[in-house]
Amino acid sequence: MRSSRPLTVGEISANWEETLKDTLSIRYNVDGKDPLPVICKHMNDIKSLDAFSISVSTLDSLNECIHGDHDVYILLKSKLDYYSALNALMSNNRNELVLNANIRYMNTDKVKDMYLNGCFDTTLPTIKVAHPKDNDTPADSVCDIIRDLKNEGDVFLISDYSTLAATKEVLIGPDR
Amino acid sequence: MFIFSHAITVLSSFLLVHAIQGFNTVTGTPKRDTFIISFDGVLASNAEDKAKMAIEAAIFTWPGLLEDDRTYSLLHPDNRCWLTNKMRALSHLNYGQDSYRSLLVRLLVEVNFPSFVFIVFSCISKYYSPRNNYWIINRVPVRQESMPRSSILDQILLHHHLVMMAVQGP
Repeated sequence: MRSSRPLTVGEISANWEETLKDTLSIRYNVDGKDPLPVICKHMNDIKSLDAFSISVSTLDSLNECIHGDHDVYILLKSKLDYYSALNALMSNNRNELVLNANIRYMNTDKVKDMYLNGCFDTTLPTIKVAHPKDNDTPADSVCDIIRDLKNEGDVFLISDYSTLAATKEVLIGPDR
Repeated sequence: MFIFSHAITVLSSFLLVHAIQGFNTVTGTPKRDTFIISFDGVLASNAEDKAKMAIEAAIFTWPGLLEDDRTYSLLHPDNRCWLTNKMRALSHLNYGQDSYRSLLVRLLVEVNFPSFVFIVFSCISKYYSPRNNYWIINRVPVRQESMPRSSILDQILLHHHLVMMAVQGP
């Protein structure tokens, strides 16, 4: 028995985590093998041609925030996004520096320094870029960051709804 | 204190500026706050870029998606536009890695997806025959609030034979 129309957004959203995500790679295998590595290779080829654009007003706010002596973490959804994000943060269409800060690549189980062009300007503040570890979700990364905080200031999490909801569930508990 | 905010650029700008001006000194002493900001959707409006990239990668992986005789052939610009919009609407899903987006592309252009039967099946059973169909609910949990009742009724009209199966149960 088969459906005669594509699934709706609501149907996919409701069943993505529990069912669909795990079954798709089996159903849509490539020559009987896991399709994810094949897709990943194609995506990397495509990604090298693209750069994501960043809102100028958001970037201005980010610059102000960093220079206001706050800690700033930029959360990526996956490791593969790192170079696209770095390119977008550090240069505009004219290849000028747009973010006035050092960028440090930070995986939450292991901190690596990867300053742009290998240089580090001690007069500038540093922002950290994090992504989920293997099999972790963005919410896990957020929780790791928050648990490791040493300062007593407030934490502002600005993210998509699913990450917010998952983080809230871990840190504060489920809705009652 | 935790402040949660949904990811829209205007709100993020507001919060960042407001944080500098309004939350910096609560007790009169400078306070060091922490901002955790999602790159996707907050700093970069890249939902459409990611959707298009996923579609291209799906075509490279399964060239058959371009075949003209498919119901949703990606050879046609209208279908690509429809698919891009659909992918944007699903940009909130937890993909883990971007490759799953291309699997989602494949799913969306697939009109013969048998697992859908189980999804409909479990929705119906949840509404109409919960006692007889625990095994299905356990196997495919469905959040009923995500699927409006009218949508379920539509499915009953499309799959009336399935309703009979669900009501009878194992």
